[in-house]
Amino acid sequence: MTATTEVSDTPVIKPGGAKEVRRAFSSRTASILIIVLTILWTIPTFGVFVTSFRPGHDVANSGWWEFFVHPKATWENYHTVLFVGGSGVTGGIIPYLVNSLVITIPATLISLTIAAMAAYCIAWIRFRGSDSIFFFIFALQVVPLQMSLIPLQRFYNLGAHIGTVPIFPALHLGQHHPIVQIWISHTMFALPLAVFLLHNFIAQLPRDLMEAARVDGANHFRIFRTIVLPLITPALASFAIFEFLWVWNDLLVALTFGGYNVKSTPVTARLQQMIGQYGANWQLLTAGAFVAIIIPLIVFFALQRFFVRGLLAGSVKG
Amino acid sequence: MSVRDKVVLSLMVGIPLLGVLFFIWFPAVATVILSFTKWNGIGGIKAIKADGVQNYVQAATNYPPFWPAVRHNVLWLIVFLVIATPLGMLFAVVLDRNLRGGRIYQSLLFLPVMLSLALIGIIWELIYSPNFGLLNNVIGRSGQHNLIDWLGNPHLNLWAVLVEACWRQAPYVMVLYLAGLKAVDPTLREAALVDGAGPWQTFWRVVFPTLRPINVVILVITVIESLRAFDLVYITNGGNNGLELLSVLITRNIVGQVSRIGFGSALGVVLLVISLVPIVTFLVMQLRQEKRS
Repeated sequence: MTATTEVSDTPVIKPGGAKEVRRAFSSRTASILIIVLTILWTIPTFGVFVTSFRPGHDVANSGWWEFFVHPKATWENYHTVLFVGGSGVTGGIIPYLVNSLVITIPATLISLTIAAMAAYCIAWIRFRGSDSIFFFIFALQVVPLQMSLIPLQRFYNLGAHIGTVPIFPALHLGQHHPIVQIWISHTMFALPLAVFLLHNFIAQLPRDLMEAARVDGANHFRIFRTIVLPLITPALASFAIFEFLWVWNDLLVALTFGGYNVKSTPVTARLQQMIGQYGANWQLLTAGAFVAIIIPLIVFFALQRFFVRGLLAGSVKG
Repeated sequence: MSVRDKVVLSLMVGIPLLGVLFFIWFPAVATVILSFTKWNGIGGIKAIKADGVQNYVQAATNYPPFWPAVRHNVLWLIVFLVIATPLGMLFAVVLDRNLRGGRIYQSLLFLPVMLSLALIGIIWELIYSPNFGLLNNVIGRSGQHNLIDWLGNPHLNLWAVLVEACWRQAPYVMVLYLAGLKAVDPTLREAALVDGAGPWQTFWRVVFPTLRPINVVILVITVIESLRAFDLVYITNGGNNGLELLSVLITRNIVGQVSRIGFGSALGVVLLVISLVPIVTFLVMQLRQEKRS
């Protein structure tokens, strides 16, 4: 590395003792810095958490920090939000949580499967145009979602034609299966980044491994399933977290293709609706907000051990 | 390669390729074409009329929210690039020192990334609310006579919302950089240390250059996220009164009742061009640098 030699030209050698002191000091500064930042960063979420347990009367008349002066907590808000609705909202939030899961889990799994297979092919099988395909898929990331939504909607309903010749059939999903449209849209919009990141990871697997398997007569699908998949688990897990969060948190795609109804609306869109209806009832809104966070939290902590490790491994070569 | 292998491989590459072709590429091209036409979305393809650059002219000269929206979008991008990204990098560098309890800080800092932008809008209301918001109470502006309406005042609300956006974006960048830093060969740092480099120099001269591939990913993600800004302003006030953004205007013209698809598409193209500027600039700089070295 040329950078290392450059550094050696500038002598900053200090006597050992002073250096030790300086290092201890700077690690303490770092600790303090990170503690302050973490507290700052957590305050807003913490405020929501506290508010969601306060009785409505208190919330309407004082800020959430007053809870620590006059502590009064209740489960009532969660009960209302989950099972009852209240304040002009009919029905609890549970069906919408289910919708979110029904949308998010398949969308995440489908996009991961397709992307992993494509990444394997592009990274390990030399064929004409493999580089251009990789670049083409990567470049699509810059297309803003909004640009494709409307053509996409018409495409789902009418199919694609050149002149009068149909080249893709109309899917007619909108009426009865809006969730299928949401799956397809999320999968396609996730593919560019997923293929890019997984490609980087798969490309740095040892060549000998693949070649040995080839010599033993394994076909490509078998190599992919038994050798590549287990090795890329960390990368898959980290991308799964990201994809899960994207889909779970999405509002635009869900609204465009699912609209507002109890059969296909995810919890984000429901919350957005509730902002209007609950109005000043912040204790209910915040309880709803916390309910919506819990599932992503579980997913994150379940997959966390893979997270930092898998995300970009292969992108950096030291 | 056997026939079976060939079939399997073609499926493995073909399905995603056709997928992105049909579901992203064609719609995007269609949007560019539609931006030169006039169409209210009713009636088949025959109802579409060519209209030249009229939509663009009209947007620039006869559509009041257009220029504010462009300004806000560009500002959003700049704030993400010069504030949120370095902040995320700082988090990552500090956390990378393996402090005691680092995992806990990391998880807490990452929390905002797990929240939907809709939720973030709700969460920050509790900070910004004029009477019972934390901010006004802390700075002593919660009395009736001196209230600051952070989200209502059209001169302040964009900045207030940008704070919310950075609150989520910085930890996002943090995780990506952290992943990159963990992958840096430790012998590089040791070598720098032996050569007598301080931590500052080690980072900028030795570690940072190896992170270059990650910078590409971060740049792309930053651009994508700043274009996705839709949800946050939509939740806050529907994207009016100081919070105009191109994405909101597009949605309003295409999905809303007005249905001016050609016009909305033209706005979409403008958004695409804005997002391409930083990416193309970066790639050109990279190419030049590679040629030099």
